[in-house]
Amino acid sequence: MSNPWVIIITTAAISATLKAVGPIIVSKKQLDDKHVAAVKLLGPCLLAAIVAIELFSNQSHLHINNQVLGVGLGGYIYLKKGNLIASIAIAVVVTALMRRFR
Amino acid sequence: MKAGIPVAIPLTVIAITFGSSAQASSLGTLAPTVMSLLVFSASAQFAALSVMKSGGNLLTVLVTVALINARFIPMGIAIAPSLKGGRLRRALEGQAVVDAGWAASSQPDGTYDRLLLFGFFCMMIPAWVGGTFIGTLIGPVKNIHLFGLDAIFPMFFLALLIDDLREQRTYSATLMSIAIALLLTPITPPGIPVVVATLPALLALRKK
Repeated sequence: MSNPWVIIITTAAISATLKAVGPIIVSKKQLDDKHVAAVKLLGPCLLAAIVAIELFSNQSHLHINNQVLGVGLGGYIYLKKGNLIASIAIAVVVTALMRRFR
Repeated sequence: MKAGIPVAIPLTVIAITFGSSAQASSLGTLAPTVMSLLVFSASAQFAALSVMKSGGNLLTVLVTVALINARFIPMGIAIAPSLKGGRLRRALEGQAVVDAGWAASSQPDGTYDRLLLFGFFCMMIPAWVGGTFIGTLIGPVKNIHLFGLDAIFPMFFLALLIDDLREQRTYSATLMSIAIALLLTPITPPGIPVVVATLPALLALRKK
């Protein structure tokens, strides 16, 4: 195994650089309406991809994870009632039950 | 900062898991805790730990971390216009970007609430670093996944996505992103599908 301190310092540098790229290359003045619209779309596109990968993949394999039912029910509750805490509670409890009894 | 509490609690649990896994890999207490402070990315840290455990070399670890954290580039582009100051200051403020804070600070008009972003960051960093430290002290924790706490993050992100869709009604782009992410998952390294899945956002550039 490589020296952990070398790995820590270099991974920290990579993460910091990746976080800095966007703010360095884009400023408020550079964006016209079309680009603002594209930036607005980035949010739902990224969120949808993250949720899909969390629920339907296991590293590099497609796989229906145990959270699917819980998060699905939680999502339905959030859609109808708009209560985030209740949705999270349902997602956690149903996921735990799925794991317990599967 | 209150908005970050529902996320800080599960993050602490995940951090404990990371700390205990790192301890089980003989990394001790200090190195994993410093890693959490400096890298501050759960997915990248778990991946790095996994590669290190499997005997991967430095280059493999770095490529893995770069791919997984590549999503910070589109996130940074999205949030950049809402940050203040010149390039250096914006780059420093951009360090506060973490998945949950970035998503939660998104506003309906396409801007981001930078104070909310910083508030999330201030909640997350002690949860992540403190949790890691505790995890290294208590060592391996068995069956923590049985509590279902890993459902919190996808649920949180799904709720934010629902809010976004209520406001923007961008169903086609969102569905395309999901399809891209799932199609690429089996054939590309981790991290790439999420980044490529942002391409449908470019559809907005074609509209007149």
